[in-house]
Amino acid sequence: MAKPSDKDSIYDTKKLSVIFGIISVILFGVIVWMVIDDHAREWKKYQRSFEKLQFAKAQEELKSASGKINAKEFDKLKADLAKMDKDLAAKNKNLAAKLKKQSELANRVGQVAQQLQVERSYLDTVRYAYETAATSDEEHLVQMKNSAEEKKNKLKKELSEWQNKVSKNQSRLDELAREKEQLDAEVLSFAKERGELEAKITAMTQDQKRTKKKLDALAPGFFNAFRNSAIFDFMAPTYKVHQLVMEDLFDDYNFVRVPKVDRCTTCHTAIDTKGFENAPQPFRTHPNLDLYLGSNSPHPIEKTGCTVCHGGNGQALTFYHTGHTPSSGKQAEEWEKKYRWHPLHDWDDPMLAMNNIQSSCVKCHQGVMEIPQAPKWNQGRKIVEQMGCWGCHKIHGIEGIRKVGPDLTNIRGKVDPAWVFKWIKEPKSFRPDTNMPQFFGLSNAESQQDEDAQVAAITAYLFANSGEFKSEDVKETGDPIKGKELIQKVGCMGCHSIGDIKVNNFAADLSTEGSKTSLAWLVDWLKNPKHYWPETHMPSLRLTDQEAIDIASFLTTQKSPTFDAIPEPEINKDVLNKLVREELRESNTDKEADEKLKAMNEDEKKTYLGERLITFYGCFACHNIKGFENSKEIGTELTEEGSKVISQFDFGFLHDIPHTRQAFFDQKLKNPREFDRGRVRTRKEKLHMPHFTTLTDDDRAALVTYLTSLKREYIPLNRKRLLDDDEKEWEAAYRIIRDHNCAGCHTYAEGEEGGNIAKTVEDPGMAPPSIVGQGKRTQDKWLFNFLKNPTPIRPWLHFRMPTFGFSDQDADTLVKGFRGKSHVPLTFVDADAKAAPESLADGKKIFEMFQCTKCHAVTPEGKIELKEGVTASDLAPNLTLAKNRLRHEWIVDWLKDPNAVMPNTRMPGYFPDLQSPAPDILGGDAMKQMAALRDYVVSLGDQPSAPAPATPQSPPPATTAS
Amino acid sequence: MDAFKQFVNNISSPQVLVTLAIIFFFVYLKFVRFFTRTPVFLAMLGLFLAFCGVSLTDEHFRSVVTMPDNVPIVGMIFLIIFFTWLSLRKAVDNDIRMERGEPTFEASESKDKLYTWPHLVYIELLCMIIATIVLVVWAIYLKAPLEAPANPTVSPNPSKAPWYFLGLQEMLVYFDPWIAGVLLPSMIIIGLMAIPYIDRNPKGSGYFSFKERKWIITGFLFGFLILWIFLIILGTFLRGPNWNFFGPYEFWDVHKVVPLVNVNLSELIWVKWLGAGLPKFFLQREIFGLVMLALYFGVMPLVLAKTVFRKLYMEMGMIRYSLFIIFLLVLIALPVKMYLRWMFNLKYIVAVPEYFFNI
Repeated sequence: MAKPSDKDSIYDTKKLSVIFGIISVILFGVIVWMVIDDHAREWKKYQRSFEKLQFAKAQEELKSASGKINAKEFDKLKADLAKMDKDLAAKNKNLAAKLKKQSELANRVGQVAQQLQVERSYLDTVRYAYETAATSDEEHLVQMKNSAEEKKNKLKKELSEWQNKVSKNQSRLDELAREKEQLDAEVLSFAKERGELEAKITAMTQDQKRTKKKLDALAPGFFNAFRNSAIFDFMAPTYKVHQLVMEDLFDDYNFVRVPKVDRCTTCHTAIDTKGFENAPQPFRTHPNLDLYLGSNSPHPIEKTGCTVCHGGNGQALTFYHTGHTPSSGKQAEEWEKKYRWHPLHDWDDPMLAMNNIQSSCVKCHQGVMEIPQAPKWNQGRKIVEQMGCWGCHKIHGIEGIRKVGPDLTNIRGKVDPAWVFKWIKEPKSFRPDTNMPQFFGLSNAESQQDEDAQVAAITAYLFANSGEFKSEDVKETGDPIKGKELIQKVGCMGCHSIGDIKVNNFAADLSTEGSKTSLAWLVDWLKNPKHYWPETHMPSLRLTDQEAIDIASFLTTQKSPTFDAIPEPEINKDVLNKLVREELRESNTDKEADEKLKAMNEDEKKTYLGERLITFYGCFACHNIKGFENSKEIGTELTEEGSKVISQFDFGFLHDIPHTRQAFFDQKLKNPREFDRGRVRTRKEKLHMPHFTTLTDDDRAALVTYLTSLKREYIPLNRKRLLDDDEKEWEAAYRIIRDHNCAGCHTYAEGEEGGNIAKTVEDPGMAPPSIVGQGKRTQDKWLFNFLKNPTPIRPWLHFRMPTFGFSDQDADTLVKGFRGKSHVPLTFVDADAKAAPESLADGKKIFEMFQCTKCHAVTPEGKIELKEGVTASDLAPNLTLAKNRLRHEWIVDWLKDPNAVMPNTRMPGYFPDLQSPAPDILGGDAMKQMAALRDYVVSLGDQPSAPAPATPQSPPPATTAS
Repeated sequence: MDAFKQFVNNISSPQVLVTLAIIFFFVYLKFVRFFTRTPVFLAMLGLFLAFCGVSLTDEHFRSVVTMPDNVPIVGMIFLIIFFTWLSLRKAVDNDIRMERGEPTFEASESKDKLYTWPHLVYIELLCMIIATIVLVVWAIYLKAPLEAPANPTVSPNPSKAPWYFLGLQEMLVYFDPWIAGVLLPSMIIIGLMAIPYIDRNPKGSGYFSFKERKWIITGFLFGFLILWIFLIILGTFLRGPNWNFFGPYEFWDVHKVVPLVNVNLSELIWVKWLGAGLPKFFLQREIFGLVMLALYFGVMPLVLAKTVFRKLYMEMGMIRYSLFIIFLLVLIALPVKMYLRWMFNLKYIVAVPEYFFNI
């Protein structure tokens, strides 16, 4: 490089100064840019628009407030006021003088008061000095230099002077004040009328004034612009970050838990304010303020915040970083355009899409099968229970339930191998709505021959390991027509469906039962289901032998020609050998495998392969199978599946679905084998979760919500919704209620769906009774015995309350549960307590007056006949049962207002608004009358032979409870 | 274009790239006078920029290069190119001057005296302002690349060391952690500290010169550019998930599978070549590796002292020569081990897992 000449050298100071000038300007520009960039935050944009929205709204309010003011009335009031002022002036000429004096007096009072205050403080000082002097010790007094006595006396004198001064002034002040009071009262009487008039005018205009004030605060102007401008916005900006801090809810940052800080309200400004229901997002009011965010709701905003339910990053302040999640592909597209949205990568827990939002409820509402107002989650959980997902996938909280599939340990006694083969191969070919999932013929399937061999092997194992089950021989012949009738009448439809009658789908559809099993087995099963399968939930309906045979012979006529026509294929021996050898090879050398294979006969091969395959597919998860009593769950544990990080989900080569937990769950349920697409895998490496063919889109969505809810998250105990004792009892009972499908026949809780079987009868009176409020209604002992061994209460019903074979413990749990549901404490009422004879006599009078016997039988054998003009709805339970069945205090509640206890009952309310229709009995006191009536009804249980009731003609009827 | 990308992706492997870099390095220094000419430099820079520009049209290349974490490394590449060129250019200029018998540029320049103010301080001020502008604009334009809260159950993939350690992380591929993570960094620091004591040659002091210090500059630049900077660049741009090697236009597929077939020297010799089992006693088992090490670090210095470095040995004396040769051999050991790995899938020369001692 040549030696730099001075001319064009960079060392030329002039040139440097030019450069300095230029870059200084650039630096300045960059700094300005920096300030602007720092100032321009996304959320401010929203607060600005919200301010505009509020402004417009306030303007509208002002308009409507102004519109409300009746101009005529207003003018009239004003005129009245003016007139009154004029009148007053004329009437009270001395008013002005008085007013003047009033103000003078007020001044004087002020002056004196002030003086008094000064004097008092002097007094206090002197008093203190005197007190100190009078009580001080020698040393202290010496320090004061004066002789102690002298000082004390001087102070004493001073003190009394001040005391005088103060008391004099005090009394002057009191006098003045009294004088002022009197004058005030005088003036007030003048002003009272005027004041009232003024108040009217103020009331009329106050709305207008208030909104005007609000408007002024919101109006754009220099002051607002200044305090929101860059640099100056540290003082008192109107645009600011709003945040909610929840001390006892936490964000888990893996190494530390941090109290939740939700800044969502920075943009969602009106989320808890009524009146913005139709505003554009993000300003819209929460759609359910009564349940969420409202100050009186169970989840008030300042305690609950947002992200504990919605998820997402509560501290972030941009649309993207908060982790908004679209509910649909359409919304995603919209957001991409509008907000440049894309999935948030650096956050494990983005917001929940609205269709999965109910998965958050369980964080606090734990230990329940159903969460109030979370139908989707409830549905998901129910499906998991019913489909037996938990059989393969351990889920904490769903344990100790009976396996969902039938017991196969005695399968030989029920079905034949051909049926089992076809069933396993494609369950829905036999019964389209079965819960049994499909294992074979799916998207990653091996060859047809291969699968046939597998199915045959499983079948062979099941039959080789089945016990001998002997159904009793059936000698009598059944009448299928009667059987068909019986099926509809005795209550089978409470759980099963058949043909067109599909009101409940709790248990199997019986439409094709004839293609499955034998008459003898069916009869045995119907008579005593626990004989074949001790753990079954199928109850006994106390059928007679003939009834059972009739039903069974009807069912055997219900065949599926298409299923019967499916041929059972020939099993290819080479394929079978290949499969068996593959299995043998897993724990044997080639040579050993060949030797063992050679030593096996055809059946042994199949049984061996079957055992291996049952292990592989996990059939024992749902069925009891001999040899698999202690096998463990074969699937992934799902207890914390909702917290599993995305990278741990194997999406395989599926790029056409979003890589989110929810999309994975959905795909897994839609086609569980799809993740094998494009993969090279051996038979045993392949995915083998079966396809649950009956899941609808709705079911899948519910399951996705449920799976999403299986999260690891810390919520302190005080924030959880803990069950009280009553709720715990009900929860335990509800397990049994659900397992035995009580809802198939009964409505068991208000607002719950149930009692579907009623749809199969025309007359609502023939439906099984509602058991809402059961705990309040019946006595524990009676209910306990009834559940264990039902006896008819409503003899006219053809449906039979089944004998479920509850254990003492189960029955007890149910009794306690019903009591808990009705919040009735445990009591020990003496049912035999006798009422006073007078009371009985009065009761009888009322009883006869109300003609109770028109609907109720009153002798143990008494029965009200159904005939022309009398429908089942007009019939009511035998009253001799009341004594030991009903809670006596309930009878009064019932009499008070039957409709409140059981809506739509036909029992008339005789005491509307507690007014008695019989003023001459018991002084017309309705409460006393009801008590007497109750006593009489209870006493009916003591009269073994009361006179037979008159037959009702056109009755004021009733239905009461079971 | 696609064919080009395919080609580049295909040849992108550590062995090819490192070999090419080494060849380029020596060719460059061999013809340093040609390469440091301004038009040649500009042409090469232009070619490189064109390559980068065209490559930026590729989505995968772009995503890696513009990652906020990687942007400083892009800047570093250009700084390294410029300053290497500048220093070599000055050295070459001086070499030519000296050949002509003229004083060096620095010598002639230092005859003129200038005041610190304004000539130095003014420029420093300008640099300060420009640096501030660049940093502010950078900070506005590229936000801090914050990631998710650390989760002990989820390691980021790829897990990368800070950029200045990526050279060391690359060495982890070839060496046992205690060598790559402890021994080598210590050797580098001690080696740099030892330079003034080992190299007491006054030539080149206070002025740039290549010709006078050819070997020492080559050695230093090899260590710095190839074994440090180049490995950082590889680590930043071409090492993806699971520390797999990806071509510049290749998608960083987390699931990419690469065979793991490395074997130890002992296994190679005992099992593969001799067809025998591995001896139980580790000294017997690792005898070949130990002998090789002994030859490399024990005999080689002696041989060199008698032959190639004879003159050097005489000049330096026993102690300085020993230090020098140890540092040099360790430096050379690095590419040697890399090539052994690539050619023989060699894992360790001496592997004594019993005592966590692997070389």
